[in-house]
Amino acid sequence: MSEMETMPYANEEALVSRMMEAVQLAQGQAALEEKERLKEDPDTAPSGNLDDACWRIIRLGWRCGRVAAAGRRTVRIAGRVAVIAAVLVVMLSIAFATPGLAPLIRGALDKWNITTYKDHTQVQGRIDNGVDEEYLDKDGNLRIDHFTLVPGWLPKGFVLKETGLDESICWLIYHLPRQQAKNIFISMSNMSGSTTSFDTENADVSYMTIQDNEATVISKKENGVEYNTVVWFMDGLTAMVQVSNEGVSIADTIKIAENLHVVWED
Amino acid sequence: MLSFVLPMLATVEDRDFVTAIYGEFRTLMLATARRYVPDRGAAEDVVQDSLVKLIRHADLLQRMNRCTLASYIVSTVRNTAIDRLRGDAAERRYLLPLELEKLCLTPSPEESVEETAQKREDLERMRTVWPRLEEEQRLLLEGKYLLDQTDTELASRLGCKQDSVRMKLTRARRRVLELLREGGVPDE
Repeated sequence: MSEMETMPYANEEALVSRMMEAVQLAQGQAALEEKERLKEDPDTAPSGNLDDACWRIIRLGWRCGRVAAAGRRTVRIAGRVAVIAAVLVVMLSIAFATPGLAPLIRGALDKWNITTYKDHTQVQGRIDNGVDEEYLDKDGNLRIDHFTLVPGWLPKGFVLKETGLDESICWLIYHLPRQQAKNIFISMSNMSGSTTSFDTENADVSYMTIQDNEATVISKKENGVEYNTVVWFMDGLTAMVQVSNEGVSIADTIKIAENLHVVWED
Repeated sequence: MLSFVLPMLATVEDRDFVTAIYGEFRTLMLATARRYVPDRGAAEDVVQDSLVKLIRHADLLQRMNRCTLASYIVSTVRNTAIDRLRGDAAERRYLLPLELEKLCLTPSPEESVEETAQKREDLERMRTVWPRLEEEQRLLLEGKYLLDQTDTELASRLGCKQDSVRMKLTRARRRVLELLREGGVPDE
């Protein structure tokens, strides 16, 4: 009689576990050998872009860990209070074409040039925007790479799909695995002297308060899919934080906005 | 709540550890991803997704020996690639299971001859039945025993209820034993 033929059910797990342990050991040995072989082949090395992206993920993980540990929006780093989103949530719509209908925009006019067209609204940050100098590099550019966006809440099931950073924007993309029409895009852009346009044709607009700031919420439906965009204009910075998504409700979009942390690290 | 939506590194040790293992295993991670996802850009996405998963388990990884760690990293990348391929019918042709036939065991100085022989026999047994298991059963066994995934994580991957995972695992284990019996694997 073999071991299997006499195997009581209670021991099934032990035997399979032991067999998989042998698989694990063999796979580990093979992996370590392959790792050494790959050192000899420079063509197999990851690109600089991949390395940059991965270092950003690690940095994001580290910052998220500290935000979670702090348990509050204001994070003290190196004895200094970090910048937290003091934001204006702006929903841009054709309503902006009519003067007086957009209090948020009106309040921000000293910092932003806003032009409303028939099918979109254009926002341009002024260069002389009174930016706090500690957030600028020696050339006067906003140090966007020192900011990290940390969502404190996301709808159930969403997982991080992508992080990115270039000279003027850092972003996160979350998605629902295996559901292509469900994405959440969160970004922070350096708007100094630059222009962003929003598709505001036939969009619904409402206003509210988020994180003690005046806010506007915009919603648009197209081909049965709901698109929502929330934009923060950060106090003291020529920077805009945006939460936009497809297939996620307004209520969830607002909740993401209310729980978003913008962390500064010098 | 954050831990459910973000990759989090709770301590300096976690951060330094993940930084070190990415630096050491990055080439292997990309090579593993490319075995399953031919497009280099898509393979790089798989490496990033895998890194997020490794960050989530930084605490567990720090308790592993090097061999187990290397195995865990390879399994993580492979399963991330497979999950990506499973979502795309056109790409399913690239779906390859863990290939046990290429694996062999090198004796460890810490082990007795009997222990090494036992492990080789266990590997040989699993090698015999592995290709005959259903894809879902292989994913379950690899997830459970190589990736130390919880029932919740396994349920999420398979798109089933948590309670169903235990039943599926039991069936997978019994299927392994049935195949071994059918194959007439000799007594120890």
